[in-house]
Amino acid sequence: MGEVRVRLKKSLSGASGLLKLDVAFNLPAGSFTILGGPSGAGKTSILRMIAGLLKPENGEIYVGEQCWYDSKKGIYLKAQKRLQGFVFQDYALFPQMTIAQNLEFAASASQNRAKLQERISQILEMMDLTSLLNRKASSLSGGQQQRVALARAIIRKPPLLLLDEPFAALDPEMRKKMQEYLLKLHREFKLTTLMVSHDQGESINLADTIMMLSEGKIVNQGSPEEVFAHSNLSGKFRFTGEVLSIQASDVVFVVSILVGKNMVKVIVDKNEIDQLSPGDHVMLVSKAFNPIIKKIS
Amino acid sequence: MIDWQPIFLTLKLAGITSLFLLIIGIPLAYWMAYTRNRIKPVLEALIAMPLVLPPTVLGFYLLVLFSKDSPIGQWLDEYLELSLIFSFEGLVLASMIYSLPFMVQPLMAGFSSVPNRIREAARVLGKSSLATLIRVLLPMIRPSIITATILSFAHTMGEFGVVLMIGGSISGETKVASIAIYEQVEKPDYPAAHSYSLILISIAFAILFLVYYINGRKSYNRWEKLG
Amino acid sequence: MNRLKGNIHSIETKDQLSLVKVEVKESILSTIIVNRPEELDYLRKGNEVYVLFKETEVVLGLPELTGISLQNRLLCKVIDLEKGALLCRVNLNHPSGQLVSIVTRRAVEELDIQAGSQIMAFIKTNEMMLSE
Repeated sequence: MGEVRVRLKKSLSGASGLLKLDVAFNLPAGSFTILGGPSGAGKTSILRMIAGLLKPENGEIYVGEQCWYDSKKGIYLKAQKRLQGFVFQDYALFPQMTIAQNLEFAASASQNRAKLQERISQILEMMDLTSLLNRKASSLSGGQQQRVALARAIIRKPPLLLLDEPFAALDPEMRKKMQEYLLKLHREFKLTTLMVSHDQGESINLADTIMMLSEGKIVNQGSPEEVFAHSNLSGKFRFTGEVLSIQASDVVFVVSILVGKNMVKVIVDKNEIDQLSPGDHVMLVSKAFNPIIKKIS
Repeated sequence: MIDWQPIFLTLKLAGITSLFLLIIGIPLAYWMAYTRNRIKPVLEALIAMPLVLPPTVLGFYLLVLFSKDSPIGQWLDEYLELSLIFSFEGLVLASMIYSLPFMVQPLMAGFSSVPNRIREAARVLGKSSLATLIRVLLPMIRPSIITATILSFAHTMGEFGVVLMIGGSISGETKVASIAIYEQVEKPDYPAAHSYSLILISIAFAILFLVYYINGRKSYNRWEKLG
Repeated sequence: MNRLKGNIHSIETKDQLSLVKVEVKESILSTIIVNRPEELDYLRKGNEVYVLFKETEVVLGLPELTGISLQNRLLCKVIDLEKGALLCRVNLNHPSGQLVSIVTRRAVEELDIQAGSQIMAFIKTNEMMLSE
């Protein structure tokens, strides 16, 4: 496994006229990157070009030492030749096969059978799919199908996992669950992951890097904190942190938040408390008028 | 007691024709369903021609083409010792052309109903087109395959004009049920014509019933909810 | 966070600071922010914006109260009260929307605030934030 290097150019005709896609980025080995931005910005096209489902005009794609595409050298690997995991928004399971057959079909012919069975059972267990093994794919709920699709995508041990808005069709509760499954897989197998997502909360929960795409160009890139702190709120005093606990106190709530290494407490009205739960990433905002400065030395 | 041979010959012709059509129909329909080649509409039109032309037109040109006076007919006769006029082999070939749309169109519809994502999913998993066709697509379009085969079979059973033109009425070789009925009416032997006709009606009904019964149970669009 | 929708009525800028007046229904609210109009693209006269302020920053006073520096005044009707041991949460209705004030229980009792009373809500200019 190694770093993934991508440089792609292509003119696409979209709903709002011609889109000139021109991006260059690196994905460090084992990183989790989210590609965000408005629809029609070219996010899915980038993913499809990396997967070999859409041909770029020029550029290069290197996965570690392996070259998938290099227009200068005239190299273009077909999708079939790229060892990758790809998860579609609409699952795309093979409906006439059972879950077990879907996973076995996905395995490559060169995989050792005994080890493969071991890997399949490990992944099935992690994804809580063992009980569904003999069910037909078409009989499962959306969330279950997407769990199978995730499992299927990583059976071959790909160095790169690509996800195209995988949870967009699911309800918020299921989406949160799926994020946990995905994180679990990512921690276990340390796959370099690139995911297209519209959802800011999803991005903050999953990604270590966010790339914002607009009209075919990367316009903003950084950690979730860096990217989303550029909010349009006029408040000047801003930190990001993680909610540790929420305690009802009299008619208000005291929310403890970890900012960097310090814990701070904020009074919050009950109208806003429903949206918060421990573990959430939040931004703390105040006006420049409020803080008091005290010299330390 | 009627002569059963024309009935058996009809079933044999329909069976062999459907089998051969299935073998060439699957790759043809697969290619046609997914190609972006500009000649696709030309091929589509050609395949659909037997639906609109009188069968006698097709029979007439096949007769001209395969007669011993034409270069093709001569070549076939000299090198393969094959005569395609007034022979069972000729009937099979003519029936295949005649029933081609009944095989290809349902298969194409079946292939087209499979979401693109499914084929892409197989590609990103490293599966070849052939493996995808055999393991994924054909099982998915099984209702279409059954429909196409049965319709080709039924349609071949009902042909008359083409057979009359290039097959004639050689007992045990080209005299199929539809020709036998025609001859009985000409004689005239109405009871015999009735017998053949009723047998054909029964078989045709049974076959068509089977198609609708199977498709009623396993709808094509079973996959639609998978997007 | 209280959140009222309005339109920018005027902007006065001096050095780093801007005094932005926002017209909400039946009142004009002013807020002072550390931004120049060229730094925040929605800071244009007539633009629709939200005025945000914390529940704990809303001061309550009797409608006839005069001689006070607070510029932002919203004449509200009390919908209901939730009394705690120390604090009291007062739900208010203003033509431009609902808001909440959290004040001490004692203050509520001294002013004799009850459901249905008319009350003036005051917010300090520097406690108000703007958002698109």
